[in-house]
Amino acid sequence: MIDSAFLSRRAALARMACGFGSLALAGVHARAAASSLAHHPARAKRIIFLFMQGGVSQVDSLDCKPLLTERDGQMLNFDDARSIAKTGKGADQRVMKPLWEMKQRGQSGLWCSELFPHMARHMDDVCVIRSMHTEGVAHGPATLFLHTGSTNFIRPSMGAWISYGLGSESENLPAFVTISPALGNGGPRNYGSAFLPAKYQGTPIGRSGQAAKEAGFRYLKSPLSTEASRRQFDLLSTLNAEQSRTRPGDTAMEAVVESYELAWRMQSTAPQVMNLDSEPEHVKALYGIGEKETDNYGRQCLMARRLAESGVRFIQVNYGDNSNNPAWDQHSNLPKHADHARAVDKPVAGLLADLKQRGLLDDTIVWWGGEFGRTPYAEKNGTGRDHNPGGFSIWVAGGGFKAGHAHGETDEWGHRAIAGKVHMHDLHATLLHQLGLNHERLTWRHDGRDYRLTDVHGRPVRALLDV
Amino acid sequence: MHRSLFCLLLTLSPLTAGEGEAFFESKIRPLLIEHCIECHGEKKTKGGLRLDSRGGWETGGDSGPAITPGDTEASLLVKAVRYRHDDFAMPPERKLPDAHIALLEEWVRMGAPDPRSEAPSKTAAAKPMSVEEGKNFRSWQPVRKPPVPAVQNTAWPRSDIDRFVLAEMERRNLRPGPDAYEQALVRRLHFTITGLPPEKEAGDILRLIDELIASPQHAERMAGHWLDLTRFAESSGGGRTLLFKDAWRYRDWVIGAFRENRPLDRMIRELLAGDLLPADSTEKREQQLTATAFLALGPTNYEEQDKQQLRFDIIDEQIDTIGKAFMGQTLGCARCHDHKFDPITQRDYYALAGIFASTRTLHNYTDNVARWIETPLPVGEEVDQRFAAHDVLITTQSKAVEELRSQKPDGAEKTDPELKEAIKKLAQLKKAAPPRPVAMSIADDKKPGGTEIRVRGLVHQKGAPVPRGTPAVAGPSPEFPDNQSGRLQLAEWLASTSHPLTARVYVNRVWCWLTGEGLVRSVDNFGVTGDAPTHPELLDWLAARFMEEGWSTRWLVREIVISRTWQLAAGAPPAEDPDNRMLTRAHRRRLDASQIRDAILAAAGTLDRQIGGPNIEGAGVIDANDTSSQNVEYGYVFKDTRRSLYTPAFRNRRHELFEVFDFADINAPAGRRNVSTVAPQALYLLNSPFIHEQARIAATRLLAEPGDDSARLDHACRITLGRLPAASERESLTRGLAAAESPQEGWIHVFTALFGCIDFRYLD
Repeated sequence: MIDSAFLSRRAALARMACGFGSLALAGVHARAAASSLAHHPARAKRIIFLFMQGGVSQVDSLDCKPLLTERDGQMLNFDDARSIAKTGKGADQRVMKPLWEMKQRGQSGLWCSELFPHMARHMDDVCVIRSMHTEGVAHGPATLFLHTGSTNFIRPSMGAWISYGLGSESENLPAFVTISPALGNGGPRNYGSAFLPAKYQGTPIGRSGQAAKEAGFRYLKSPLSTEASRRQFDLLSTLNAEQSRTRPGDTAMEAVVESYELAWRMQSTAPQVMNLDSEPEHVKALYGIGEKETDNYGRQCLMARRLAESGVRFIQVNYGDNSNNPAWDQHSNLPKHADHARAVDKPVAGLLADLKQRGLLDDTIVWWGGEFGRTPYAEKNGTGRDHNPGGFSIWVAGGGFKAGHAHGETDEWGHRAIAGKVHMHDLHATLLHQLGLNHERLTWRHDGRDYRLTDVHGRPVRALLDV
Repeated sequence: MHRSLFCLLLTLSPLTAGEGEAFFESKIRPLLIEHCIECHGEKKTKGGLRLDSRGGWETGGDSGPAITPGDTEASLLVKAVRYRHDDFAMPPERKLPDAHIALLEEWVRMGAPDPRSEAPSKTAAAKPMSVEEGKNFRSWQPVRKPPVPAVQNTAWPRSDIDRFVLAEMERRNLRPGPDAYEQALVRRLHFTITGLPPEKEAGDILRLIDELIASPQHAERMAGHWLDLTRFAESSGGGRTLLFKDAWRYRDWVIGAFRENRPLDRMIRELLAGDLLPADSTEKREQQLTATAFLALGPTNYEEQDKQQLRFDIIDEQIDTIGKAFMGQTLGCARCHDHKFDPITQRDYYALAGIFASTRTLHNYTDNVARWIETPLPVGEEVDQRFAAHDVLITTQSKAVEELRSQKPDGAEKTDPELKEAIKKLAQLKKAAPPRPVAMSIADDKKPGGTEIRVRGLVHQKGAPVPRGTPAVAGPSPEFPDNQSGRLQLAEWLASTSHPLTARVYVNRVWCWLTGEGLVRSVDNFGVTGDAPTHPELLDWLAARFMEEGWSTRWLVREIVISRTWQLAAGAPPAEDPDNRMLTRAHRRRLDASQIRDAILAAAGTLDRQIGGPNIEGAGVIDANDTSSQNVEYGYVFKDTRRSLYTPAFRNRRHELFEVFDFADINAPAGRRNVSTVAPQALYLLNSPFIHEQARIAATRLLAEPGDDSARLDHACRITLGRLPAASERESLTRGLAAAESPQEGWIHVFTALFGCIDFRYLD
C-alpha cells in the first residue's frame, strides 16, 4: 500500500515538472509525461525573441516607400496617433525621406536598407511582416501590450503562457529566460507570471545596463570555497532528511528536499550552458564577439543559441535600456539609429546563420522587432520620428514561417497598415499556433474567469506559414 | 485504499492542493475541452453525461458515475478512452494519443482533483445570473446570526467557534485531531499574531495571546496583510514608473489603525472618503486625508497618451480594487458588458464609475506624463509661518527678476550679469524651500454627477447616461448629493451592518490570515464562481458577532486564536476529508516571505524594530515626477534591516528574497499569498550574500557567548526553530561543526542550515 502510494506521488510530482526548478524527476517516463498540453502537432519548439526596444523605423529599414523621397519636406496632414490620442484629430507634419538607401536583396528581392547590411544577407530566410499594428502610443503601454497582450491590466507575459503551455524541455533550466531585461517601461511585468503560478515567470539573466559578460543566473555561485559549500550543503541535506522523516508522506516537505537537490545540480549544469569560452573562435566571430560595438549583443545572442539547444522554450534577447526613451527611440536624432543598428546587425545575422547551419532554425522561431514603429514624418518638424503603433515592420524566421516572404502592406507613406493587417494579438496567436498551442484554449481560471494571452481577440495568420 | 492515502498525501498543504489543481488546469482541462466537452457539455449532453464540471462526472450519465477518484480500473471514463471495447470507446472518431490517455489515468489516480466543483455550468455557463436571482444567491443574502449548534461531545469545545466546527464534524462522523504541542503552538502564535519568532519562554497561553495581540508588532503584522489587500506599493510600476515617495504615510495610517483597533467600518469611511469627513483636530484631518492615498496607489500608467482612457483606467482600477478587497466581487468584469456570471450589470458598473468620475485622482488631464495629487498636510502654526516666510522671499525675488527683465533688452537672461545673478538667486531660494509635508490623496471634482455607459468599455463610445448608484442586486441605492462625489455615501453603504458582504468577506479574510485557509477558500471571490463556504453558519455567526462587537478586528483575532480549533496540531487530515475542509487539523503553513526575512534578522540579532516612518533611502529630496526618481528604484540597494513591512515596495524592483518566496503581486489586491516550492529558493538560501551575511553575524554573536558547543546548539535551535534540537539533529549539527575548518565557519554552516531547513520554514 505504501509503495503504490509512494509511486503515485512520485509520478504525480513528475507530471508537475513543467516549471523551472519545480520538481523534476529523472526518467524517460517522467519527461514524456511532463511534456506539454499541446493542442495540435507543433511546428516549432521554441522562440528566440530579439526585442528592439524603443521602436525601429520601418521606413528606414524594411518598408520601402519611394513617395517619402519624392515628397520630402512637404507639410501634410497625417492621422498622427499621439495627437489623435490627445486631441482626437490629426495634425500637419513634415514628410521625411529615409536616411538609408533601400535595396532589394537575395533571391526573394525583399527590401532591406543599408541600415542593416548583415541582416540584409538573410532576407531569403525571413518572413517580413510589413503590416503590423498594435496598441499603446507611449512605450510603457505598448511594451506591456507586446509582452502581455494588455496595455494596463496585470496579465502574464507571453513567455509565461508558453512556459505554462509547454513546460521546459530541460530539467535544470527554466522554460522562459530573458537576457538583460530593462527595469523601465513595465520592467518585471514584461516577464512576470501575474496570476499564473510563479514557476512560469521569466528568469532574468543579467539586467539592462550590466555587461553581458557579467550576466548569469542569480545565486548560482556560492560565496564559499567548493569544499566548504559542499559541507554546507551536506549539513543542510541531512537536517532536511531528518525533519522530513518526522512527517512521513508530506509532499510539501519532499518538495523542499527535491528543490535543494535540483539547485545543487543546477549549480554545475547552468554555468556550463552560460560559459561562452567553450565556443570556437570562428563562432564567436560570427556573432561579432570581441569587436567593440557588437561584443555585448553578440554575447547575448550566442547565449540565446546555447539556451535554445539546452531546451529553453522562450528566450528573449533584449536590446534596450532603462531610460524613458529606450534605445531605438529617436525622437530628435534619427541618424542615431545607425549606432543601434551597428550593435545588433552582425550578432542577429550571426545568430540566424548559426541556427541555420546547425539545423536549429527549422524548429526555432526567431522574432525580431520592437513595440511599435516610427512615423514617416519628422516629429515637431525636427530630425527624428515619433512613435507609430498603426503600422510597422518586424520579421520572423524559422519554425515554419515562410522564408523570403513579405506579408501585408502599409499605405503609400508607410504610416498605417492597410492590407493583410497583423495585429499584435494575431502575432501572438500565430506564434502560439506554431508551438502547437491554440490561443483560445490556452486558458487559466482566475477570479472566476478563464483568461488567455489574446483576451477575446487574435487569429493565427496562416498566410505567414509554410503549410 | 491507497487512493485515499494518496489524496491525503497530495493535499496536505496549500502547495500540494494547488499543484493538483495546476495539474488539472495545465493537462486535463485543455484535454477535456479539446476532445470531450463538445458532446458532453452544455450544448450536447450525449448519454446524459457532462464533463464540464466536477458534478457532471460525479453524477455521471446513463451508465453511472464516470470517474471513481483514485481507481482507474473502476472509472468508466478510463475504460472508454482505452478503446478496448468496441461498444464503449471514446472519442468516437479516433482513439486519443497514448500520452493523453496516460494523463487521464494519472489524473484519476491522483484522485481527480477538479476545481470546477463550484461552477456547475447550469448556472455559470448558461447565462449570467439576473439581478433578481442574484438577490437569492448566498453572498447577497443579509447576514443573520444563527444559533450556536448543540454538540454531542460537549467536553471538547472551548468556544462557540469550536461548537460550529465540531457540529459539522459530528454530522460527518469525523473527530477533531490532537491539540498542538505547546512549543509548536507558541511558535505558531508568535508568527501568526506578530509575524516574528518567539523570544522568551511562554507562560500561560491565554496571557500570551493577550500580550501578543496588544503589541505593536501585531499591528504591523495585520498591516502587512492589509497592504497586500490594498495593493500597496511605493512606485507606480507599469509604463514609466514613478516613485510614490509619500506612500509610507498610508502605511503608517494602516499600522495606526490596527494599533488603536480602529473599527473596520470607520477604516472604510476614511479610505474612501477621508477628505470629506469632518475632523475636530489637525491630527485627525491629517490622518483621514492620508487614508485616501488608498485610491491613488494603483499601478497607474501615467504616460498613457489618451488621458480620457487613462482616467477610465484609473476608475476601473479603483472599482476593481474596492470590489475585490471589501466585497469579494469582480466588479471590473462589468466594464465592457454585463458580468458573465454574477448579477452585476454594466449599468451598475457605470453607476459606480460616476462616483469616481466625480473624483479627481490626477492633477490634471493634460500633462504628457500625468501626476497624482499631493495635498499639503496640515502643519502647526509655527511651521506654517516658516513656510509662509520663505514663500514671501520667493515672491519678492520673482518680482525683482521680472522687474529687471522688463528693463533689459530681449535675451538679456544670457548676457546681463545683474539679471543672471537675480535668476540664479531665485533658483537657489526655490531649492532651499523647506519641504512641505504632502500626502498622496484624491479630491472631489468640481462638477459631480453620473457618467455615461461606455459601449463595449470603449472610453469614447458613450451610451446612455447613468446616475451614480450602487449595484442593484444589493437593493435600493443611497441618495447622492449634487455637491459631492458620492464617495462618502458609497463608504457608508459599504460599511453598513446591513451590507451582506463587507463583514462576511472581512471575517473570512482574517480567518484565512490566521489559519492559512478561508471558510470560503476563494477569499477574493464571493461570486457565483467562487467557493461555497465550508461552514456557512460559522461564517455568518462570526460576521454578525464581529459587527456586534463594533467591527473590532482585535476581538475577531482573539476569538479565533483562543479556539481549540485553531490550537489543533497540524497534520494529515483523515482520508474522508483530504482537503481538511472540516478543520479536524490545523493547516500546516509555510512562513511567508516577510516572516522568513524577519525571522532570519531576528535570529541574527540584526532586526531593527523601529515602527513606522519612511524607509526609502534617497526618496525625500527629489520630486517624484522628476524622471531621476526612477533611478532611486532601479539602482536601489536593499540593505536596511527593518521589518519587511518597511522594505521599499517598488513595483519594478523587489527585494530578491521576496521575489523567490512568493511575495504578493503588488499590482493587484491579494487576499492571500501563493506558496510555491522551487529551486531558486534553494539557490537563494544556499548562496545569497544576505543569508551568508546574517549567518556570519549570528555565528559571531553566538561564539561571543559563554558556554560550550552543546549549549550554543540549544540556543541556535531555540532562536530559529523555537525548540531544542532532536538527538539526531544534535548529532548532525555537531558533526557539521567538527567538519568545518574553523569554529566560525562551522557556526556559519549551522546557521545557513537552520535558515534553510524545513522546520524553520514551516509552522506546525
